[in-house]
Amino acid sequence: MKMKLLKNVNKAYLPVFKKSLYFEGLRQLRIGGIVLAALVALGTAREYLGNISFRGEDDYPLRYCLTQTLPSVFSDTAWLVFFLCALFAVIAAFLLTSFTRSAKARDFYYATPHSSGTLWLNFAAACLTWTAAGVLAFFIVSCAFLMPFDPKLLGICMMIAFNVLAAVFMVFAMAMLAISITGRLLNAIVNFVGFSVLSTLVKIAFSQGYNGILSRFCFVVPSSELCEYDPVHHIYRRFFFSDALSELNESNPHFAILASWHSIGYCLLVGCVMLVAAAVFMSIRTGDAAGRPFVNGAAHILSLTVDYLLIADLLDYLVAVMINYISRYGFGNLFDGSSVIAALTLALIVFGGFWGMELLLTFDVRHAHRAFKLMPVPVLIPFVVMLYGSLLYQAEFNTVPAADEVESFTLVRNDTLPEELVMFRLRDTFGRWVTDEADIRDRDIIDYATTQIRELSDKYGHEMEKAATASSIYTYDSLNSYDKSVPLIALRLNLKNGGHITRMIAFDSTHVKALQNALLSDSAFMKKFLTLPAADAVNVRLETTHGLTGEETAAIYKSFLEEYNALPDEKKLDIVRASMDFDNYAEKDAFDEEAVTTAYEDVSASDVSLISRSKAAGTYGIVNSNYLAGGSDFISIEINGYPEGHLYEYEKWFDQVFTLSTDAFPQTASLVVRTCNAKFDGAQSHFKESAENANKTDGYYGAMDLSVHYLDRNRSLYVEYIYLTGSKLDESLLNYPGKKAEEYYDEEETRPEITEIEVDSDAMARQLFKDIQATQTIDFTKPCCRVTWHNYGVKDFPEYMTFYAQTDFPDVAK
Amino acid sequence: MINATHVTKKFGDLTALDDVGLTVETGSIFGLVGSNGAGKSTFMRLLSGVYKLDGGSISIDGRDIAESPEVRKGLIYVPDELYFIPNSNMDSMARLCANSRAQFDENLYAKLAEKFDASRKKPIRAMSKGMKRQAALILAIASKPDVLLIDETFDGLDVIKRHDMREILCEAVADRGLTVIMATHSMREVDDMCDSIAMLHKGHITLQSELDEAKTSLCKVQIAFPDRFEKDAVTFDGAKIVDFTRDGTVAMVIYENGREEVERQLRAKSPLLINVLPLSLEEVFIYKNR
Repeated sequence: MKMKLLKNVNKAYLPVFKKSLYFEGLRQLRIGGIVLAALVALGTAREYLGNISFRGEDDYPLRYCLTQTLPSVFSDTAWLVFFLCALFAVIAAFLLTSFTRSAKARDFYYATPHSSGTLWLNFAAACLTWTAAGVLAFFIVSCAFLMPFDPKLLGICMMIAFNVLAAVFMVFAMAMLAISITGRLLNAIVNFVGFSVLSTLVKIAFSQGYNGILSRFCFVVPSSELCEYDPVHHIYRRFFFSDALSELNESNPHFAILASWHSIGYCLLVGCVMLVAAAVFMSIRTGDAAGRPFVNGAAHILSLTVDYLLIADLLDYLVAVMINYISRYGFGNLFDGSSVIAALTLALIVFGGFWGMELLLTFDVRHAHRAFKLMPVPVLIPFVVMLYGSLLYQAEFNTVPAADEVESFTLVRNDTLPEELVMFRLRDTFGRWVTDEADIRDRDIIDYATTQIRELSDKYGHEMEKAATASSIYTYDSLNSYDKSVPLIALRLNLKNGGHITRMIAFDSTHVKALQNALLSDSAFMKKFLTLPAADAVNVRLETTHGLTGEETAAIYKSFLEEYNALPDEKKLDIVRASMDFDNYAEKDAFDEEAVTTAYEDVSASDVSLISRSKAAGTYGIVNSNYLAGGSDFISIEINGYPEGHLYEYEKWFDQVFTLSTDAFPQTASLVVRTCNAKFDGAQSHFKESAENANKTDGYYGAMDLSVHYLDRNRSLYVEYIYLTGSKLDESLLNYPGKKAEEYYDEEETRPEITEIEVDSDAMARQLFKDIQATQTIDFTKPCCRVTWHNYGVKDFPEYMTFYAQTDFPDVAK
Repeated sequence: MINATHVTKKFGDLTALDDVGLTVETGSIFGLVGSNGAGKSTFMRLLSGVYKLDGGSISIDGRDIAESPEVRKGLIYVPDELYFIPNSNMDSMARLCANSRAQFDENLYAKLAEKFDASRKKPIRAMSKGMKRQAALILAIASKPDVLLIDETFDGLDVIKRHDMREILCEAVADRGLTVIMATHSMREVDDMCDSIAMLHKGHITLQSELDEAKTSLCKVQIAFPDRFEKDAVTFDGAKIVDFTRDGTVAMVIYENGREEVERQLRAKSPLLINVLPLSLEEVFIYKNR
């Protein structure tokens, strides 16, 4: 077959670049190309300007606006550019290759002294040139906006441009390949969608192997990792540009700028393979093929069958989601076996109908009997695959290793782990990175895991109607069976015979602690856990929180790093535990664990956009921010970074929050207090000015919205959210006056109206203003008030700022 | 010279052309006539390289057209259904022709457009059928081909433009040895322009000859005898009667024999009247393909 194909290629008919044809292609697409470039330029400019004007309402400077919103600008713009360019590339591909389908165009182009391959090559080059022009427009506009701000950002823009271009190239190649093998528009479109899905499968084949592919077609089969259980996520990933731009759409849009060389490489590789295949098909193609479904009937049916399977693979989830939407089922119900089978059957009928129609058209109605003979094949194939998958699933699911067969285990998908229980306070991204190489050999946990797996298998192994998806067992059914507060943890058991078994199982609190200890005894884990990113990797940008400058935060981090690195590992671990394990908080005596947890959240509200902003600066994204609270032991420092230089590996990074105790970090704590106090002076004057302006306005919802966190932990006081609005301070606006934090949080579900404790809000406010007006040094060892100013009215300051006031509030607790 | 030998083309079970052989001299105008579905357009597409041959070969000046697309360098095909880029005008189509064929002559294009009063900037989609045909012919001639293949040559052109276009084609044939192959239903066009013709019928060549020879390949005789007579009265040894119609004592007979022979043989039968009449090309076509 291969030899025959090659034999058919007459060298004189191989594609050759011809300048005149290339320029002809450019000329024919010029209007579309110019419109594309204009749309991209306008869209990109709109993203920048939109954010600036949005921020500009508060009279923020351009510099601030850009740093604040660049990640989302990059994300939105990248998608816009990709969408427009891919749409253009596909439409242009179809337009310029009309000679493969239309008899009129064929009669013209095939009669020219150029082979179809040459026509195709030059027109393809023209399409890609205009597409690149669209991407270039994005880059130029970005340059215009960002160059005056920070030239380093252009590196990121260029990276995005490469990523988008590679992605569009792959999509274009899919369209070209789809076009090259058929002479009909509808067939070409169906082929195009088929190839789009195929590209995903290729990626899965490389990353997950046979089992991954099988699970794709038959999602009762657990993949080599775990079955996905989020249908939207599934569709997103399956759809062609999810692979093209997977790194751009995953996770938080703030990280969209983190394009991946892997993604670029994959897109280029797949694109090139498809284009070469298309070139071969076009070289052997003659004008006879125009208007015909395929080079020959059998090949057409084969391609359609493949398309059918590929599209059915995509469609089943779409239908499943539609059912979910219409029926308002929860995901648990959605993945009930009958729904899935109904969805898949519907998909099969829809595409089976199309397939059958094509079959009849291809073989001519007179020979319909041939078509009918073949009809069962594509209809049955998916069911056979499903059946096979079910059997495989049964076999795999019922494979329960004995504990002594297991060598070790690793954590996979640890974003499912409740962070505060398993990994102290590891965020999922940090957790992924830090546990990557951890190989846990704790026999107790291995015993526990195998027991849990056996229980799951015994309970569900033979109930296929409930086990329509492996994930339903792992997640929903398991959740129904266990206490919802128990964490589900995904483990990959590494068997002594070299095999792997991945399961998600529920851990009780005892074993969670055991897992925690097992991790702490793993050297790879500990090394990553205790090593901070190097100081020279720090590049602190304009810091919004507290209005600290980059230089100030860099100095704080440098000081902290020096002190931290000088400590022995044992001490480092103590500090990590003290910072992250709530049991060790100094406030434990004053608050119960839950209250402290919440208080901690309040104090250390992390600003994840900082990392992306820092990334936007084009360098390592280590940002530190400082959170100050009512005691010196509450000063904390948050560090995000890429210690291994994974600039674009956004899914894993260093992310840690440390409490800066004055004992361990005297130099840094002192520096923080000095720096912040200096800042607060300025902030206070701004605040005062704004507050006075606000007082001049009428109504309750004037220009200011102030929340006050009154922290006096020695007296177990926690006052939050006193809204001082406009000049008419009203007691009814005083939401939650001070209560003992323990009581307050115990009653969280039914927050009471504020009647129990009389608070003189006017007096409190007056006192507050007075104290703010009087510049003073904050003594964090005494009760103070943390004031957070939200959004309104403060010029030249970011959207909120926090400062502290030493005040003598009315003793509301008495 | 264009030489087609044993040309065969099939579409599935249908054999559109079966073992067709043709020779077209350089610098001549060749008419390809045939009934609907005879295979004229298919043959033109094979000549122009649009279709791939299923059997036989076609060569232009000794080079097989399957050898390389370059063989088609001097060949232009103006199909029955014309192609224009969507929303294009004549100028943009001229650029397409110039970009796809090196020998396109911008000056000639301008001259022809002026001569025919063609609207170069007018969108082609807004043109009438005849104007579109005229535009296609102007572009084809301006491409200075060595071989011009025209399907339904002057379809839609008015009388004057048809005349002018004919003149231009004839000039090109005379001046630079252009070879024209026109596939048409119009016997008048062929009669007016062609040096030689071929008749296609159901995928087979039924006649190929010089135009004059074609016309004399049949002989039409009006003959009368004193009494009513039957077909055998006008039959003689070697006579090939294609058609016989009698009205009373007068009959009209079409022979596929030479005029002199027919006249000599029939006079020997002492008819009351004998008239050898000229046949139109259309009549030749009809009687040849009936």
